Amino acid sequence: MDKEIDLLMKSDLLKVPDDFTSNVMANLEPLPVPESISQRWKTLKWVAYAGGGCWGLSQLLTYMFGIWAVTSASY
Amino acid sequence: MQSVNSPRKPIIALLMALILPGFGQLYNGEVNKAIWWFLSFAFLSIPGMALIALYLPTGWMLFALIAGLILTLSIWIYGIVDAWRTATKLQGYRLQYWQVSGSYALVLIFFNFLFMPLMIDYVRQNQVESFSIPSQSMVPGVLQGDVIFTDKRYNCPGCKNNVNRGDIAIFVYPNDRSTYYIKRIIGLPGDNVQVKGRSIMVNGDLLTKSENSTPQGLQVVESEGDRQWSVQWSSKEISTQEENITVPPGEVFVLGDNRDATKDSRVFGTVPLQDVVGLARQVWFSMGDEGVRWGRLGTVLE
Repeated sequence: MDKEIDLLMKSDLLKVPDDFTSNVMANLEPLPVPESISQRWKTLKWVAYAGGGCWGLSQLLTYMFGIWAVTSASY
Repeated sequence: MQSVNSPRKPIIALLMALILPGFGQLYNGEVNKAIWWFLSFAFLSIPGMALIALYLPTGWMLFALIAGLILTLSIWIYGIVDAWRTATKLQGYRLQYWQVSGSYALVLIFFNFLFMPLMIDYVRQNQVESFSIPSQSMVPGVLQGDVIFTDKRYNCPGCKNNVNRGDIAIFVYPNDRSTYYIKRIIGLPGDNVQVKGRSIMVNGDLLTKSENSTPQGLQVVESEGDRQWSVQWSSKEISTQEENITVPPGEVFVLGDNRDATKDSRVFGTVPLQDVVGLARQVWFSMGDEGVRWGRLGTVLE
């Protein structure tokens, strides 16, 4: 089988007929193009992630340094 | 739900581990590891070290709490590194059925916004709390600019420490309950306290043991039982104030160590015992006009 493939590879490329596009492509059923997510929603999603991440990080730091946070004994 | 191939993104694992220890491991599907990582962080670091610090000799408290902070940071940083490394290896990962955005949101909200804030509040209310001292009312014992740790296992049912004469205590100011004060407990419920100028007598015993004139004023060593402390009278004029009171039941008589520059029970009366919230233990930071007072770091407050 490898020899057959080698022979094919050595031969010239097939010549595509001039009416290939109108005959073959016209019979293909076009699929709907998927709707792309707008850039705005992508940006909003990342802004939400960043906001939630910052808030989560601040809570974590509040916990880590909680004992060291001071209350004032005014007088 | 059919599991799909969903390679783990190291950057997502890193960011999740950054905001909550164990969260990055959860993203990588390592549930058991995530639980232990979180438990180590939440319990062994802050509450565990605070409790250990309170049972050690007072002088070791600052070092134990610093060790706790280093342990906390180490667990956090190593968790981030571990989540990143594991995610880089999981490029052919099958998503588990529970790995949906709602699960992650629930875990984050519960642990980061509910569990940990409640835990640190518990530690601050019941074990250790830090106070800054913005006034000179307790000079020479506690200086303006000192930041101290207080033992909150004080003056409460089942607590380790009872209120004793000579304690430096934090209490709620009777005339403004949004304010904390720091003073020394001089008279307990039922004690007879006599104030005559610079002489303080408790139950007929004079507190003054020795006096020493300094440029700052008169330094007086007072004692009660086996406890001893220094106070300061800075005014050249000797006060003519006289008081003879019996401390009411359920209340204490407090005085500032800087006797001429303090508002204490001679002004606002006795303080309800239930408002005494903490026992001052150790200075962990101190800053004055001259800068950081390195020599005071770790000073035990007697």
